[in-house]
Amino acid sequence: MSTAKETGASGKIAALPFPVVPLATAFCAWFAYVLLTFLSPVTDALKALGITEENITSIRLSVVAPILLIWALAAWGAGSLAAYAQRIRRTDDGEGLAGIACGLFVLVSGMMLGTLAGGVRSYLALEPTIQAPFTILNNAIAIFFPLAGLTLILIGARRLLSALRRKGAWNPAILFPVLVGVGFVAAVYLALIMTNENRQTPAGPGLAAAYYLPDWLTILLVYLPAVATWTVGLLAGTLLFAYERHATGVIYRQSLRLLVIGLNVVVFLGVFGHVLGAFGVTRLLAGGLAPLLFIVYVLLFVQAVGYALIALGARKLSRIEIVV
Amino acid sequence: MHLFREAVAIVQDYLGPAAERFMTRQIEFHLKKKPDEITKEDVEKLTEWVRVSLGLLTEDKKVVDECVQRLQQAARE
Repeated sequence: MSTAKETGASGKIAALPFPVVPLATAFCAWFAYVLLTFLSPVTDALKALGITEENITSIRLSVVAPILLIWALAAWGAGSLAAYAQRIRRTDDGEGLAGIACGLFVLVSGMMLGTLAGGVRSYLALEPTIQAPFTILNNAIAIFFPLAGLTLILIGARRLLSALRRKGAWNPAILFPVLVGVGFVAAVYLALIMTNENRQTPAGPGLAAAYYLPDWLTILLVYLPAVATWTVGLLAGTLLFAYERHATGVIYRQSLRLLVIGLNVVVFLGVFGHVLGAFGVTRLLAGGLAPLLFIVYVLLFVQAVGYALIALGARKLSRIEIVV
Repeated sequence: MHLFREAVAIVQDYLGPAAERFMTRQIEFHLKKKPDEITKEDVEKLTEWVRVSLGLLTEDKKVVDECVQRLQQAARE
């Protein structure tokens, strides 16, 4: 038995497993989305925006390409976090992280399913009877997957904080600004929904209405669950920040910080996505297609950064568990 | 306090909840012992491996040196 100095040996970190199954699933889903997107008809509504058969291909390419990147990063992030949680599953922090990893998988699945449902809706754009059920399905996916995913993340974050066994790590006073913030955005969101002229009927042929539901059902099935989702998400975010702030370990916290920031970016984007959707097609396209595409690209970029941070944080944490 | 527990308490300031798992792995892999079997004679070898392994996790040499010094200090007391 000799020391590291005597042998001149260096420690080692085994290669981290690559999340093959989540990545392969993401690629298959993306391939299906590409087919749906490129086989979708160019409707009169698109032609009215100045989109021709010639430039539609480049616009579609500019959207499907970053989506592949985001889905790959999301699958990589969720897979890496799940692998880390699995590695430490029998520990106090392992239980909390397993809940968070599970919640992240639900969020990522919802993101992919929602985009695919939107793809099916575009593919069947010339079938007026299909638009309503697919819009309702799309809205349900956009609301209930994040609600379920963020609830799991909240439960996981609470377990992590309890594992600290440190009094005062969680200050309930933080709830006040969170609830005030949610209340403000909720008021704006409600105003946007109720002033959306196309909430029940489409703006034109080839376009879909926002909800296809009577107002009371929109409030019950879209608005209230969305506000609940934001509350749960922001609460989970503040709990994760509290855990990161109070956890011990300089090196551990450096890795954890990336994970926590990434998760919070994903949560905030979810809120922003709901509010943006409430503007409705007519208002979103009022300034033309270019500004809308710019907003979409920025959102896609930030989303990619969020998932990349989750993946990097999870992989850095995993390195702590395998270094010898 | 047993030496292992003392070492884990120190490493916790650097690796948080991963400290015990990290130290157990270092002892079992490099010293071929169980954590509760280590003695003061093992500390020199152990701290060298801790230095190497922490060096793989952070580029902050000060943090690594501080942790190793504290482990050595604990063994001397």
